[in-house]
Amino acid sequence: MKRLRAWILPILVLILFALIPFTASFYYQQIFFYIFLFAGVGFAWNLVGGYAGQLSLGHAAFFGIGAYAYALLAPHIGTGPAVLAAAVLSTVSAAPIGLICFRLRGPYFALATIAVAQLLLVLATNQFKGLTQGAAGLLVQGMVPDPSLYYWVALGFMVVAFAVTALLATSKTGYYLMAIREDEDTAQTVTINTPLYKLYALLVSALLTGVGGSIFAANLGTIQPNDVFSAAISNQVVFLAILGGAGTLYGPLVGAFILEFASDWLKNSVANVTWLGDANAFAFFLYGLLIVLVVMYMPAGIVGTVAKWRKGRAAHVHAQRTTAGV
Amino acid sequence: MHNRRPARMLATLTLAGLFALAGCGTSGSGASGGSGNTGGGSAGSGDNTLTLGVITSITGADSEFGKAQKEGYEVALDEINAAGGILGKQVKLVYLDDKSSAQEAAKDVDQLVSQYHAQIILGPYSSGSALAVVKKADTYKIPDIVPTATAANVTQTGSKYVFRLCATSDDYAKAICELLKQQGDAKTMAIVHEDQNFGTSADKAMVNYAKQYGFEVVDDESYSTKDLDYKAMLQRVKQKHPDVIYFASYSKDAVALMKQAQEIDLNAKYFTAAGTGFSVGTFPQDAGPAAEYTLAAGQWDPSAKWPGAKEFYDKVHAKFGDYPSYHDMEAYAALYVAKEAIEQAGAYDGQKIRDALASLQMETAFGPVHFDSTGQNAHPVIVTQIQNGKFVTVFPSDAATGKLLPTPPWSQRK
Amino acid sequence: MFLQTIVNGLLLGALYAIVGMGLSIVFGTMRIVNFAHGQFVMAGMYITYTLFTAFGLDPYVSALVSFVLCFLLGMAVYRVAIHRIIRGPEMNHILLTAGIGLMLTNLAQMVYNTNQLTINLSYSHRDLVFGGLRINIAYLISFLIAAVVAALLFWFIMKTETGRAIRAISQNAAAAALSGIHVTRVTMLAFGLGIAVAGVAGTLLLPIHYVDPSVGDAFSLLAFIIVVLGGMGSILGSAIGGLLIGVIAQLASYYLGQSYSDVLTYVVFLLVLLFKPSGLLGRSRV
Repeated sequence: MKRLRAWILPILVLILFALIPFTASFYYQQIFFYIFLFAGVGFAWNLVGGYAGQLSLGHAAFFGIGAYAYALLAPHIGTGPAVLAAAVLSTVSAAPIGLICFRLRGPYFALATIAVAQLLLVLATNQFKGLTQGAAGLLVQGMVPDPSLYYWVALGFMVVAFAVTALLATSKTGYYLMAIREDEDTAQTVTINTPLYKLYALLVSALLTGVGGSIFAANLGTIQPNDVFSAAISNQVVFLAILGGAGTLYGPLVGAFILEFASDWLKNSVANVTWLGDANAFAFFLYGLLIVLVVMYMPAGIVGTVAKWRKGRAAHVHAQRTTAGV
Repeated sequence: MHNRRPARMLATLTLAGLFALAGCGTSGSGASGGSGNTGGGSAGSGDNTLTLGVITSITGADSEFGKAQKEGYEVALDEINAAGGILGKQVKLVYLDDKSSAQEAAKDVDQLVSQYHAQIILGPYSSGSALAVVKKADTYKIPDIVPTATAANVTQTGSKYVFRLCATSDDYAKAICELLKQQGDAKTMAIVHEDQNFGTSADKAMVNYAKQYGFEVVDDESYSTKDLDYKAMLQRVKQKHPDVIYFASYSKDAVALMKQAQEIDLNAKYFTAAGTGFSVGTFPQDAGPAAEYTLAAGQWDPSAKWPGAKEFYDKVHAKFGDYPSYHDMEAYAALYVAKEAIEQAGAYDGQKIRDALASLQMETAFGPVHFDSTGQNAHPVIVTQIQNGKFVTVFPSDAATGKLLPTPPWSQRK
Repeated sequence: MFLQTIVNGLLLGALYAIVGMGLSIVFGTMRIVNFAHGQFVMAGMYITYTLFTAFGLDPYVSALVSFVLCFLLGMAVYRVAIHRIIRGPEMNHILLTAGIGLMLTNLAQMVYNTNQLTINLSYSHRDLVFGGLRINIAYLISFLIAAVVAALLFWFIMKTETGRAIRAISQNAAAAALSGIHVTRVTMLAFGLGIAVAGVAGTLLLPIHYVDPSVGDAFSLLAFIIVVLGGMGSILGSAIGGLLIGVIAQLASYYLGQSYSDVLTYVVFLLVLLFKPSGLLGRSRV
């Protein structure tokens, strides 16, 4: 019975999402497209950055590899196989990246992941110009016959990404990953094969991120290295996951939701306030402030903080009842 | 079980979001400041304003040029409204920022269509964003006037809804090659280009045309505008002793490249460039003597023969204090082209405006405008040379306001 | 030409070194993962630009003003924001400082607009020639100032009472507190000092490079690369790391092409992380 009740709300939410295309304008459908897409990539990041506690700031590497694999292969092998190829190639590329970066810990790991993503950005722009056309950009074949269908593609992607992370996170693997996050040395001494589990998390994460990249490219219809390999992509994924709550199941979706709507609101409301001079810059300034405030006052993210707060209150109520009983 | 609470929160949030959506959906363009709440959607509805959507780069890497574009649009807007607007309605422009990113630019199209019922799009600035906007506008079947993006592939997506006002990077390369052929004393060439969309397209075009015209490309260098120092790269160029150097650069890198070329005594018979950084009004002052004799392919100069050119220059300078270049002018002309097309269409309707654009013939201060079957305007490219700190048009001969001066080696300049 | 490239590399590297030295104190010593470092460099550039255009102040004089203003700015940022999360996970340092970086970038855009601004100095593009070797005067001055700053910092950290306190905190904050060191005040001072040096780096960069609101982005990663390459907590290491990256960048640009300077910088960085993670002069680390 309890198990069943836990399913009710996610299903309700899903039904709500399924209703949106019938009520919202295409612009808001596209906003939701990006919410779902980046929430999905956020779920993927969460496996490595949230549960395993390995702060990857270079997920754009997998995103970009997926995007370019799809863009380059779709005209030759078709849409479906190209998505599959994007998944395979981003997963395969994650193996050496993981082997290199996981030898490092803490900020060194984070820096190494940035360096890898930046390296790929420079290579895709210059050295591999023959393949990628460099910054001149590639035209990308669509994935679905009608652009309005991308909403469903992204929703499906997010549901799959959620299901995969939820399954992993609640399994033995998930507990091992969390043990690694809490104390890697201790985890190792209790015979958890930490390098193996970290790599496993990264491979799954890269696979999902690569598929996300291919959907992004198909929806946009054109890509250049800066669109997919840039630090902006990596950072966005990290921000939304941490804003929502790193290492929580729903955190990335909540974070993606808030970031996308905040950015929309800032752009359309604040940016039109003329007395501010360069109001667009002011909007970004507020965005930075939001990040600062969340880290300072809600370091566990929104979902994490609310969960803690509820737990605290429940314990408090419980304590009161117990005292009253005595 | 501990997942339930976040789930409930999520549901609440979603509901809140849906409410927000309902609000946005029904009130139309909540952000446009009241007057445009039906946008321009129904030209005959008695609403007395027509809201047109502009996409440009207000923030991010291209914002300097986005600002130039905005100045051009603003001057055109003032003139058009003073002269009675479009179809008898006062015009209002909505500027959406693409944050210098293709992803945002594509979203801007969605927003313009959904919230402002746009039937025509103006912009964006850069070629990278333009590709995404063209793809998107095509799905809505509404025309997009591209004022400034020069990369060749912008008109190669197969879309019937793209209309590009400016000449392309191919035209730049061709004009420079023509001029060099006319001079007759150049055999080898080095290309030095920035590594983003503009530079990469310009490079591709020049490699192609140099081959056609029989110039040997002895060196092809790419750099990032974020690099601190270009001397090592310029030394590589120097070792190849090219007769011609073709630059594709943005503004401050153009200044640094020429100053550092002087510093390391890199000489060439012709320092040429694909407009942009070598054409902006501040280049002669910023680069000082190092800017002298440089040749830049460009789209327009205040000395152009078309009526209104000089007046436009003065107006922008009076209103904003800037020295407008062709980026401003192209935006200015784009709004006039939109006006003409909408009035010829007789209604604010995407399909009709597209058809009007396809057969449009008009004169502007930017030159005559007529789009071919790919949507490309055959805009003549001019080549200017900096002589005593001023841009002098030296090519083609029918537009020339002065003679091309030979470039002396650095050691023989005073 | 090889020798000339090395010399150019060292001159460029001195600028890199001073960008890195500020972060060496903040990250290398105090272990604050400051992703806004590049934006503080940008602040120094704008300060210098303003003083030059408004008062005609020579940038090498305004280095002092940059130092003081950035010192105050750094301490304020530390007191208001960073202090609250300094004991938290490094993930939060990164996020918080990235947010601060975003605020600074856009504040700059609100004040100065997006134009790329430069200053024209008579000696920006002048060379001294020594037996065939060309040495740019602006770079040479920056090189000398960077050397002086490095020496002063080294002296400050190694010889003064505050420097000893900083080192004590970097080794063990709890023990330092027990032995009577005011940890918060000293950490704030150290952070301010690191930012002040970033400001000076900005001043030295302006005669050579333009400033615009997004110019800082490139400097943050570069600074981290230099600090890690040189070795955590070693001012001298950062100086050498900066020079080394400068030489590598110039050699790559000259022999392979400009875009290879970034490629090689990242590759060298990854190799060092892999095979000598303690850096060139660093102590071993956890």
